[in-house]
Amino acid sequence: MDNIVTMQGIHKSFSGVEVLHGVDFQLQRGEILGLVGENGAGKSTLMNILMGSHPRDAGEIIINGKTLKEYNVTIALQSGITMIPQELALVPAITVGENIMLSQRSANSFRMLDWKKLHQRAQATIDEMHFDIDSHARLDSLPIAYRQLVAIIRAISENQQVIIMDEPTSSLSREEVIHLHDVIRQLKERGKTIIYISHLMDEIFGITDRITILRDGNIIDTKRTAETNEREIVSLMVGEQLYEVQGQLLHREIEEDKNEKRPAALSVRDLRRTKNTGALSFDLREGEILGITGLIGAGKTELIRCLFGLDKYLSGEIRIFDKPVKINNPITAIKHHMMLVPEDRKLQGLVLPGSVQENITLTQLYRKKTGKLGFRSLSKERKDSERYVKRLSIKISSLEQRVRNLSGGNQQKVVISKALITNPRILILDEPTRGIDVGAKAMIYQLIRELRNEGMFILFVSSDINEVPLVCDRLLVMRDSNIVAELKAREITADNIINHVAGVK
Amino acid sequence: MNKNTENAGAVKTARPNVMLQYMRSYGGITVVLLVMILFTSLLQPTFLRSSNLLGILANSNDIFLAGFGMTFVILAGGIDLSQGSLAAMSGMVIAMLLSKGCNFVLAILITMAIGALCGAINGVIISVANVPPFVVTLGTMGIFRGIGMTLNSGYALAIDMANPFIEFTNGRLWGVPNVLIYVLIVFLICHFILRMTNVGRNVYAIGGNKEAAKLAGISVVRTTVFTYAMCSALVSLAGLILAGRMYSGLPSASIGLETKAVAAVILGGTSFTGGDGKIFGTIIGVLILGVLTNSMVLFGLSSDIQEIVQGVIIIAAVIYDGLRKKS
Repeated sequence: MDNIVTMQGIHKSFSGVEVLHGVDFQLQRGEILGLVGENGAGKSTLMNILMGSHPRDAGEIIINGKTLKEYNVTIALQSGITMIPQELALVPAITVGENIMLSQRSANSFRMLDWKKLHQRAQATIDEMHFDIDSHARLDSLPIAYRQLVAIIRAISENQQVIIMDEPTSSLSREEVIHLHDVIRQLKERGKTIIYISHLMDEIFGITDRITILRDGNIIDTKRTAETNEREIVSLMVGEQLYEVQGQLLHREIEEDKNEKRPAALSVRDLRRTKNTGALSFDLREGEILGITGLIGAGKTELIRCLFGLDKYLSGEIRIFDKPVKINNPITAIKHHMMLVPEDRKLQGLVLPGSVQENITLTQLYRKKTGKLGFRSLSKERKDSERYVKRLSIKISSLEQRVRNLSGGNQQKVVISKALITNPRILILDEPTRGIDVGAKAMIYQLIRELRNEGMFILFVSSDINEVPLVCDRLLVMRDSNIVAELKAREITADNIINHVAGVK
Repeated sequence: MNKNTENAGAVKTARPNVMLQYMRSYGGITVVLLVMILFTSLLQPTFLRSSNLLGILANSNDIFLAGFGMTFVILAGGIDLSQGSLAAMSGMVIAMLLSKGCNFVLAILITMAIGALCGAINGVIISVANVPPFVVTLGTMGIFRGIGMTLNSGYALAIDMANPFIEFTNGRLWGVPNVLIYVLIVFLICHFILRMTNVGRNVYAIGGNKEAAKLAGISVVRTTVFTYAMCSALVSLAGLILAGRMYSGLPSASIGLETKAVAAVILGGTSFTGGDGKIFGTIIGVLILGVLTNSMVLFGLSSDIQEIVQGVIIIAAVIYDGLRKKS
């Protein structure tokens, strides 16, 4: 078979932690290759190496039969490889046309920018793909989904041989996804090669020819799409070991599933964020882990931001232990015994230059309680921090170590410790296992169950359909800012969830 | 990291050696300071005279105080360009209060309170209206300077040499200039606040990660206002000390004080992006600037060249900071 790209023995480490352990990757000319793996499996890292934006530590890159010793973004582009930029890589304050033509400006004979020609060419590219976007519109005037489309159009317009699409549909609607898939098939007919990365099995199975599975920095297998099924791919992605754990946990789950009418710790009634979003109602009941799942953009994080007082909501009622509350800011939320483990540990969870201890004891309420009159009790803070370091087996050299130098899993454990040290009654976890290794994941699942058994109320938000069945006692599925399904113990299966998430009946 | 390593080994939480920690944080910059001192004292033996050394320290009092204040602001992720103007304004305010016959202790307190209020205004505009600190303090830089000017129509305002205030700023205790004692007291207070109080920790938190701080129930507005108020109160103190040392309030005093303060803070290893650094580093930063100025005077170089060297040093310090963070 004719390989357009071959990568051999690729090794890559970030700050001492190896994330790719000698990956052999093959891309055949003219195919649509699906690249799947859990968060942190190394997909993005591998693609960034192929794109030249990360240098590799070891290994060979062979493109069109040529072994390339020197490798960087310029060489990648010259070799015919491009990647759909993250929406952030676009320039918001300029027009769609300029964004599309950013790397291929059209100049007139005086070497001046030819605006008319630029927009003509950009618009032609857009029209060719039958998207309804005006080249003259300022990018930041478009909704997020359209910006993602612009990024895709730009990559396609470069007319490169290989196009890497990393989660290209994360903010697209169902119709737009179908449209995009048509465009991809056209590209294939024109002889282009596509690498398609997605978490969504139905997309992967809908469009790809072959599927390569990455797990923990190794390529596990490559399957022909026609000769495999979702079950097989998912089990390769997560590893059989975790499936066994899943079986056990699910079993225990079904035994424990009983009485319906337990008191609610947190009740949400007709919560509306804006005029256009659905009214959300649900209860978080005693002794349960309530899961919320859905795609990125389904409104999970937005819901949590409202609950925790980070965003304002339009209407509706939030009751905590049967008392109606008005939560305007996180300070109020924390006073009502809520704690949040936020979605992005680096942007929202950690003070990166700070030490482990300073991060664990970050919450103002905790420090106020341990200290007196605004003065801190460092010895007590130290003792408490040590306790959580032990309980969560966080691997650190000392409490003074900077969290910046910890691995993702240990950082996440620090964020969770920070939440637990305040003794919350209601714990909200937003994507708590994103981008961490399997060992740390298993530990966190275990911990969450222990906490529930100790009487903590837990709201577990995750878009990882493989992990919600492991953890949740009850699961709400969100789509387009609505709760579209409520699944109970036995019904919580990856299959079921996919159907509801994607809106398949 | 895999499962095996996850379970291996007990948690070690031993506190690292204090000396080692010091060398890691300030080793490079201390060596620079020592080399400068060695170099100057070998070529210009007058440098080591105790009168000269005390002079360096005493003359740096305004950079010490403004630098401590700037440390708070930079740690919280901000910047204060209005320092020089506020110092001049404070000098005018105290000269005016004293000329009206106000008790000197009360005058000092009022001046510092006005300074703190000015800082609080900076902080409120920055955190409530969400305007970048650079812009806000650039604006108030003009405003404070202008107020200082209008207080006496642009003229200096003399302070009676017999006023006990002059003893407060120019006196000595057992041969040590009073101002150095004030600097030491302020340093201890600042260090204590940053290390031992909740609000001090909040300063690091909002500078290190504003979003995480918010989620941890820390009020960004209150903390920001605190840092600027604290900073400006110290700058006011520096301004009124200068007025005492000059026997008058000068509306054009302390131009460029903020750049020296920023230089000292950055030289002292505090991260320009906030959240990382110690007040102690600022002391070393000020010492480097002070020794530099003094040695250039001793070598007979003009003050213009001092400005150039100081500029080079600031940029070098920031590059060094970036390199250190990378490694």
